[in-house]
Amino acid sequence: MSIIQVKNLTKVYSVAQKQPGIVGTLKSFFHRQYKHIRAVDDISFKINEGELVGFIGPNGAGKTTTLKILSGLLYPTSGQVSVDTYIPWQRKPQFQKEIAFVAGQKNQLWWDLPAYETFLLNKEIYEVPDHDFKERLSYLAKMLDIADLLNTPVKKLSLGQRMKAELVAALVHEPSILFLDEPTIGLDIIAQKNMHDFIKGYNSKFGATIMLTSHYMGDVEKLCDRVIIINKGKIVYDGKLAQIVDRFAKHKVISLDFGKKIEREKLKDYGKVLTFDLLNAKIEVERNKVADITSRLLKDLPIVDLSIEEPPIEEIIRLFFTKE
Amino acid sequence: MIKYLAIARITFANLLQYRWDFLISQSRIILLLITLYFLWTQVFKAKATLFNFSQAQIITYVFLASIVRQFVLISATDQIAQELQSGGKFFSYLLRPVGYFRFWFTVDLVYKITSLIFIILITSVMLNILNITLTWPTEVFSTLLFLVSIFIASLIYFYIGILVSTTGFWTSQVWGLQFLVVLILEFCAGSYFPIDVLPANLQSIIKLTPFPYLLYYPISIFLGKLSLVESIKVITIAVLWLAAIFIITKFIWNKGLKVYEAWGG
Repeated sequence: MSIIQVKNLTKVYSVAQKQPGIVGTLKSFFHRQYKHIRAVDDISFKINEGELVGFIGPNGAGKTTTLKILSGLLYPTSGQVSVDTYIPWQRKPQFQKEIAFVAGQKNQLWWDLPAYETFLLNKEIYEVPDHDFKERLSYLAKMLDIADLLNTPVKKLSLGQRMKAELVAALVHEPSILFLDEPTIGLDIIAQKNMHDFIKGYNSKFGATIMLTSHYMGDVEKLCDRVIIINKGKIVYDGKLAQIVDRFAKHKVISLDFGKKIEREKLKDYGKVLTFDLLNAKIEVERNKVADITSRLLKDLPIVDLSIEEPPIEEIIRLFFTKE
Repeated sequence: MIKYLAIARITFANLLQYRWDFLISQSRIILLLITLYFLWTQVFKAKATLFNFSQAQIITYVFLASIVRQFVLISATDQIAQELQSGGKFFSYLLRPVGYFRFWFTVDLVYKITSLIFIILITSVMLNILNITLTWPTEVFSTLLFLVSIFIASLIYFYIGILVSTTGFWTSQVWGLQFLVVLILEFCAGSYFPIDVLPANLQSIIKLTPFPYLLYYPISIFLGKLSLVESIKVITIAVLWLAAIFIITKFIWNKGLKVYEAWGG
């Protein structure tokens, strides 16, 4: 059964335009010009209960706008949305108790007080019984490893710690639907992995439906079977992640740093040279030959550093348009 | 109900974090009181009554206005404008099952009660030092209607505060407007002197606004300047003002919510 249904959703922002300079300011004061931006353009999709879906696309693609509409923060310009049978922007309390929207820059924590104070506030706002609250808090604090930070004022926490505390505050009422906007932004590798484990665990433990946005492929690869790719407000792909990587990202990029200058010609045997400036280079290599070519490169050339990268998500999307 | 107690609790905890800032900002009232006290005692050296006020009445007015001001004209609603501009925190209210206005009224009450306790302490000390006795109402109805009018006045000021803050939906430059409104409002409300002091035509203009219903009329009721019928008439008009301001605020608030667009797609 689809818990989230979106049909022909469109959101148009009106953005005031201003020309530079004093004249421009005066002009815009008396006669303001608006530019209409279709942030989300006629998209439709369905998500089943318990699914963990990645919502990806470049900056400004419409990811966050869609999540904000789904969580009831924005009114759509047109289209129908149903989340757990509710219309999100009516913001019914029963609906609000079922969902959580967490975003890196959305701080609901009280800055000068320990995070625990906000948890207590949310406990009462969401009418969570004492027993459940204690149980959930100890589970969340353990999973996210912040038990000893609960009594520190929020302003003294690091970005990663704050992010975790935000997440706990948003989950005190144990929502069955989670919208996570860039959950790993600004986190270091270890914290990223913790966050991945946590999201995965929450999904399997509670059977929660989770939609997360990211422009970082790592998040999506670790967590999601299904991805929805959005670009310029339109859905360009909706399906299994495995298929998209195989079908569209046929290459990986190898970055090389050399100990001494080499000639560009030498690299041509290994793959397509993307960038080259004597001491470092990037070459594009077919996925299934990466291991082979890497070992040849290390043997043949004076390499001091080497790294293998996935093509950026923008690259995959670009490939989409060239293929179809 | 427990919800709102929890909000009050966290607001108070937060206020304690800012206790010095809070106390210092409240202390300016001491200077104002001393100035007004000496000003009026000098003025009354020449005459026994002025503008239909005896010296005792005007001194009572000045002290009472300070106390009432620290309850009615204390609000946290100016923070709403900042929250609208910073986006994140404002969104978190819309996500949670809590009434936004009710949330802020609870916060306001905590601010009001805290500053009321503080000003009562200050004024009792000052009254003792300066050896002043205030004139108390002779009629029971005056005290009761005074309390009723204070409650209505607090609600009027609460919605005015939100109304001014709603400009935050459209612009980030709210501070100037907030400052101007407070300036005009304190003058017209009679924070520093009863508006009887002003020229008659200015008085009649001010009486057409909701501002005198914030301090001037409640204190007039307390001082027994208004009869029972007049007092009830004043309270009725205050209720009508409250209704009007509430409707306007709600209307503009809903309009603001509709156009409120956060950045980032």
